[in-house]
Amino acid sequence: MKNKSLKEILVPAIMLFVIATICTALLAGTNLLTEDRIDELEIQAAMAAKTAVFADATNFSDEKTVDVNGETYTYYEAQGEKGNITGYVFSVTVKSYGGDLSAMVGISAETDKITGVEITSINDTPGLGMKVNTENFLSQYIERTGIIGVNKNEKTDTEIQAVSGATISSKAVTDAVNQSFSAYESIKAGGNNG
Amino acid sequence: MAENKCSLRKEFTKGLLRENPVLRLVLGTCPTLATSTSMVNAIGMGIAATLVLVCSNIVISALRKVIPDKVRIPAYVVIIASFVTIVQMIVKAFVPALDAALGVYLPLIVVNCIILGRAEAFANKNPVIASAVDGLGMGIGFTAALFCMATIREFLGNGSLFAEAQDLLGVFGDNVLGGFNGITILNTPMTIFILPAGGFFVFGVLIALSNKIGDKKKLPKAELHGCESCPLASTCSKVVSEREDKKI
Amino acid sequence: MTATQLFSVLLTAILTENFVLCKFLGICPFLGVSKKVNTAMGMSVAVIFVMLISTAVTYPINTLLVAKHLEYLQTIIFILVIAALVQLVEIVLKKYIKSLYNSLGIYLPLITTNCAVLGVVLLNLEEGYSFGISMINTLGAGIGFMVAMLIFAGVRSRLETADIPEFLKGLPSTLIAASLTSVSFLGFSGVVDGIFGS
Repeated sequence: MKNKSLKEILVPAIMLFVIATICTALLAGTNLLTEDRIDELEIQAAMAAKTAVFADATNFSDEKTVDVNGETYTYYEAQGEKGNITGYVFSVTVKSYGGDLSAMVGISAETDKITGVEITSINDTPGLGMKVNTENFLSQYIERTGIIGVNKNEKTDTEIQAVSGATISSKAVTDAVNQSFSAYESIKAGGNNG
Repeated sequence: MAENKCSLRKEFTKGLLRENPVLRLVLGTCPTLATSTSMVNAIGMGIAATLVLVCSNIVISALRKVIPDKVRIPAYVVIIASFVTIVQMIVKAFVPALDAALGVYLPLIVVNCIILGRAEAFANKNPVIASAVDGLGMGIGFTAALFCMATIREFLGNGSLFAEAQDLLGVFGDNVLGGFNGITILNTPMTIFILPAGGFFVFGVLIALSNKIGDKKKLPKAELHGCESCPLASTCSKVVSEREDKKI
Repeated sequence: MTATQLFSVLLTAILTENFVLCKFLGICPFLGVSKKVNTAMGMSVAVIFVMLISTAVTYPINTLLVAKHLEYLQTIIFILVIAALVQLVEIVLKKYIKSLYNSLGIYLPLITTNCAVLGVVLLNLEEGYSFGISMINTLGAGIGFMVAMLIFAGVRSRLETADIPEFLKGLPSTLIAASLTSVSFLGFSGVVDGIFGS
């Protein structure tokens, strides 16, 4: 009688174990087949995001960090053909209307000017806040330098024009750019060694 | 043989209309609401869920005599989770844009009640071919309902049809169909329809429509029966205790 | 992490990114168990409880998986661990704390395959939160679920007595009511940032 109850517990347990083992083996197999491709795609995507904001680089350094006013910023060094640093790409996350907004900002080390801004993740209202994620809006930042302001009505020398109905989101993107710029200045002041 | 074919056809078509998992059985509501913001997402989600559904139905049906009854639910969950992960890896490797668009809802196929529900209600009692056909029918029914909702929501809420179609078409190479990437029809869309609120609203209207059509065919109304519709009902002490309450 | 930041994460999870009304996770219990306020309450507390222990347990497991490069086993291991954990808690409650079991325990098995629980675990990992913030975010998600459940239970009790056109009776009217409840949560966008403004 006791043997039987032991069997009643053991048989299902062993079966479950066998099924789980086979499933894990199958997964490991699929992983082996797709792993390289997924890694390659991820590297490509990361590269594409950086080149989008800093086109004239042949290579980017690994992730580095810098502390400014108690905040830690992540950045990458853009390298020219000889491996010299031609600029920086910052990855910044700020608070926007609908939660976090992440952006990549490229700044040239030669001219101190912004080379491009790209939004990597945004959670704002579709149709309104989301409108900041357009070429039209983001191209306003290119070639600017120093701290940038936001103007609701028009574009000026020191201000960009906010997307109508999306002032908070526009301010959030500007905030990301300004934070990147202060991080850039702190790297520069630190002797350009990163 | 003729009868066999006939019954297979019945298994297939029931998932499309009479027992449509979304509009009649009201299962899998979370992915339906969450991924129906664009037609491309809906098709992607539908194909991924159908793949998992067919594969898990086949395997569970093939193993139905081997899996001990006591551990059948964990065994099903393991099998379904494996297929979900496999589909996830394939999507990541070949359609990365879709993986980014569906995000967390792709691995969450594992807790989609349609899949566990079909395993428990059909695949563990029927032969392999019938289970595969059942899974395919249910999967296509799910995709169709999702597509229907997404068409309404994308058209009204974003003013477009098939926006970002290259996300999916990219699998077949660059510039398939002449680089077709959707068309924009309305210039000032009603954004509310792609917001969560619009999802609930469109779903409610579709259920009302499906009830109206079902009425004519004397089908019962689509209704959530509390926990009774949950595939885990038989193992759940809440449902059991509720049933006992009713008896008393 | 300052206290303001913690509060900001918590409030964002409860209001702006409400699990049910903005992320569509946990819709089944939201529509199915919200008829009465007391069942809605019991279900919500059970969900918060399961979410918290799931996050607490899966976080170290994930660290281990990442270290061994076995990330692809995440889904399968998480769902099994959560299921086993829930069963265990149910057995313990049933045996030792009978009163708690009667009010909470009966909901536990139902939550095993609830997408809100696996969802919060996966979202925490996706966001790369640390253990502490994961727990705060999970707590926020759970409270958000409870808030949505309770508000909606109130709305539904009104709906029961309302005179609704025949074709909208039942599920359609429930869904449209959910849609209106969701609209009210749209108003919270920007509020959290406004309170803790940067």
